[in-house]
Amino acid sequence: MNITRRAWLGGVLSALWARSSSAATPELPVSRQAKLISKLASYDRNFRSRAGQVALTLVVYRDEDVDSERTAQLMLSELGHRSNVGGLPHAEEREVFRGSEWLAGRVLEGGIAIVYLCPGLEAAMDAIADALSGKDVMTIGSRAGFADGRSVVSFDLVSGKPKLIVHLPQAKRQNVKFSARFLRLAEVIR
Amino acid sequence: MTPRRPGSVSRGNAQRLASPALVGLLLFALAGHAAAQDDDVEALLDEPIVETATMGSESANAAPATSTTITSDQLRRYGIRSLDEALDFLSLGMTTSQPLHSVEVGARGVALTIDYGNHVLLLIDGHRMNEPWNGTAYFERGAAIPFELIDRVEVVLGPGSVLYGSQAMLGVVHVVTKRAKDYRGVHLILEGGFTPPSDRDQSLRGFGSDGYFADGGGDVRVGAGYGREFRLFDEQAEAVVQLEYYRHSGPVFAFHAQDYGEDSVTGQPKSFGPRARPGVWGGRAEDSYYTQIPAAYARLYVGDWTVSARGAIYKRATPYLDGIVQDTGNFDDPENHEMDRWLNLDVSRRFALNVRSSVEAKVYADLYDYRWFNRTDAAEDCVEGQLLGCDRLLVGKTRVLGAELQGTHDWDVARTNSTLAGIDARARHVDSVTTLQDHASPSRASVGAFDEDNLASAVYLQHTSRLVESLSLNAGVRGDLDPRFGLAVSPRAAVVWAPWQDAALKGIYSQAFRAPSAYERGYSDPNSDLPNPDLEAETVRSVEATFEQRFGYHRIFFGAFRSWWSDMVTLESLEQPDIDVAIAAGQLEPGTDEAYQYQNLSRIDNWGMNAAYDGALLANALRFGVTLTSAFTRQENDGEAPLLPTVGPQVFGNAHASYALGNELPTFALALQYQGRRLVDEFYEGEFSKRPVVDPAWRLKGTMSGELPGVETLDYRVGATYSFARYSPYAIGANVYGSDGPADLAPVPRLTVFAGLHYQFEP
Repeated sequence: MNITRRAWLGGVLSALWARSSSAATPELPVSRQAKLISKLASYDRNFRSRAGQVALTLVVYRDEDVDSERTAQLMLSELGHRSNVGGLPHAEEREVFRGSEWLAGRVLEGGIAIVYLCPGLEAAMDAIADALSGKDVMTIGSRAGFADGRSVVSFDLVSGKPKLIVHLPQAKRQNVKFSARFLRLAEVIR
Repeated sequence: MTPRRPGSVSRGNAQRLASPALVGLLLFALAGHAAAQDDDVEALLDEPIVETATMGSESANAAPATSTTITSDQLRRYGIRSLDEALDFLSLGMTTSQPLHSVEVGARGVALTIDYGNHVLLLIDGHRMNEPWNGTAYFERGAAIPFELIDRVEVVLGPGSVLYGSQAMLGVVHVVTKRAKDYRGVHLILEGGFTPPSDRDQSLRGFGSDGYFADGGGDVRVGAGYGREFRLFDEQAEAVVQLEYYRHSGPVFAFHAQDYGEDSVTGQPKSFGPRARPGVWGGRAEDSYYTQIPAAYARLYVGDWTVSARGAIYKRATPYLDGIVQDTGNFDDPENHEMDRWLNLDVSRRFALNVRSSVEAKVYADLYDYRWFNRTDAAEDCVEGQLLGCDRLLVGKTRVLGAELQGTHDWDVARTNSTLAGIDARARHVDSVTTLQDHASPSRASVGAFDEDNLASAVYLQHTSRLVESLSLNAGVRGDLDPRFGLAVSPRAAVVWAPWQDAALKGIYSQAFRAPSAYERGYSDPNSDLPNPDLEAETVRSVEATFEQRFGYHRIFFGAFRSWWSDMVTLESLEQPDIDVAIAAGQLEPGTDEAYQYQNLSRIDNWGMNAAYDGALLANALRFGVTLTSAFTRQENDGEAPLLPTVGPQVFGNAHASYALGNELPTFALALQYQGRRLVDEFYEGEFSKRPVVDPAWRLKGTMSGELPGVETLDYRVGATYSFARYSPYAIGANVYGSDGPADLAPVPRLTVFAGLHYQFEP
């Protein structure tokens, strides 16, 4: 019995001290985020002109971050279940984040309506916001921490209820124009 | 015509209540179905995310359980000041009864009196609070949770042992605290209340009448907290900490004088201390109703790590004798009290193994003790030879050190199949003793001493499968191995079907158990109580079917349930032959003619329905909700006829509405609680001139809250709680088990007015 107890305690302690990459999961489940993305895009008056025929979402995650990659995979899967995004047929791509300038370049190549940022990229969000200022794209952060870095939209969970955070100045810089009705549903950073 | 048994309620009553509710809700469902065709963001933002039912975040309508989420905003808006108020005014299917000490929680028509919260599992951030000495968890102020720190309260109805083990029979109440992002800066809290005195018949005294303020009760709560996000060891970190002190005293109660008669030992009129006439219990209780609770809670997150610590003391006094905790004691003696002390620590780490698997490891520790101090000047309340009475001190202590390892695995990228598995082991030490200090000499007697050291362990497994977008299955099982009773297996199976948008139909089968407490197994007194080390675990099986429809901010819910409870532990009065055997075995003193023992004797059969409707109008400024529970419950001891249970109402519910004027203007809120007719705890055992019941009870709470104009970071709330009922279903006094007249019942404080301030700033 003592051996069993020691083995059990050793197992737990090993798990506590095991090496791993930093973990951070979205506060709001990805499935709910996907549903919200499919709806909220239609509240952006410039969405259809930006997206064209197909609403393309680029899901960006941090390299060597298992939670970030996991969120990316899940978002692709969940968006795949949506019949439309902002009322349009849609497609999704997933890429490792290679820097804010690289991301700005990807957006400039055209066709990307939404950039979805997975956990682990919060620290880069300021640079991303600078790089995307003046570009025509909606950035959506998977965690509340993205709001501090000026993601146009960020998801949070407060008291068990989903919450949208909209960074209005950055939205203007990225040509995102939400309706007043939508803004009433969100916490707005002015 | 067959005469009705005392306390019986006909099936027809329950059906009459259930039928119109069912029809109404079906109509709402159809309306909801139509409205739900136009899916909108509001619905997605309003549907709660819950985590208690499966230990993972998911939509409430997808969870394999019936649950209510009470938000921090609701707690503030509706002037909620304790967990039991939150359950009473805002939850579905749970209700409490307040005997002026530990509230008793009932759910879906089942309430087990004198259980000290034993049949509801209380979690704080996933840490179980029911301690192993007597399974106690508190739901009134004694929960000792700094209130502004609460992010939400998830109330899961029905058996929940599949993931949580013992105690989750009536349900699970999970208090989740705020993260630093939602509690930034320094927080200072000051809140106070006043409870006016009542006359002997429990009618409110006229305002300003003689002694109005001196006889009234007062309470005050002060708190200070801090929340901050920062970087530590090159990791994202955050800390939240809160200290709180709550104190309450009064009001003065005027109890009817109860003639008790002679002390069976001395033959003289029984003494109830210096504040009562010899042989008579009652009068003005001025100093024996108070509560003091210092509490602290802290949580630190660094990268994958989480460390939580909680410390609290809960000291309180009850102003009367009763059949629950205080069946002896001097009248209005402020020294007579109960006190609980806790120190809880939790260290956990969660990390991903790969894109489909993650692990959480946790180590936890609890220190807890309970003290019951009781002073009596009556010889018959003490052991032989203590003719001038004694000071009785019951102490129970526990130490727990546990470790839990949990893993989750998604079998595919889309998480259509996910498995959660865990193993939990805890080493426990429990000891307990009662000492009786003689008033006349330094001699001291000890009774009921016991201790135990053991290791309890459990394994659990849960699999969730989303067969198609609209249909998911959840199946799980937990095995608990406990040297107290052996093995308990707790399965759950649930199917959740979304027949159309924003609707959910659920079918759930679940089982739960409660391990017999160390106290129930081990307590003994050679004059009155036998231990019972052979007690089995109590078990409950439940089936339920629910329907829920959301349309925008509106939600309707209807559920039907049936549950079977067996091996329920009751304190049984022993027959003389059993007493004689115990005397022969040396367990009881020779000459003992009355003795008790906890035994697995009782069964409960229970069925009924829950219904709820909540919604919002006027751009979400007006929010409202209503819940109703109607049940049919029968409790049956071996060889006896089934009886309606005491204390717990068979029909109860609540309604609430709030309106936010907007900008800097206040929010007004009204909440109403209803409990149907209830049998008094001594309805069957007590020998009174009339079997005691309490009439249906209504309680109303009105609150105004908002930001103080001109000071954005200073919130206020003022309000009042008014009870239309004068008494709660507990017999009190020296004649708690019978008298020539009617039973005296526990008084309910009729009115409490309160006001509070919450100041927040970031240095």
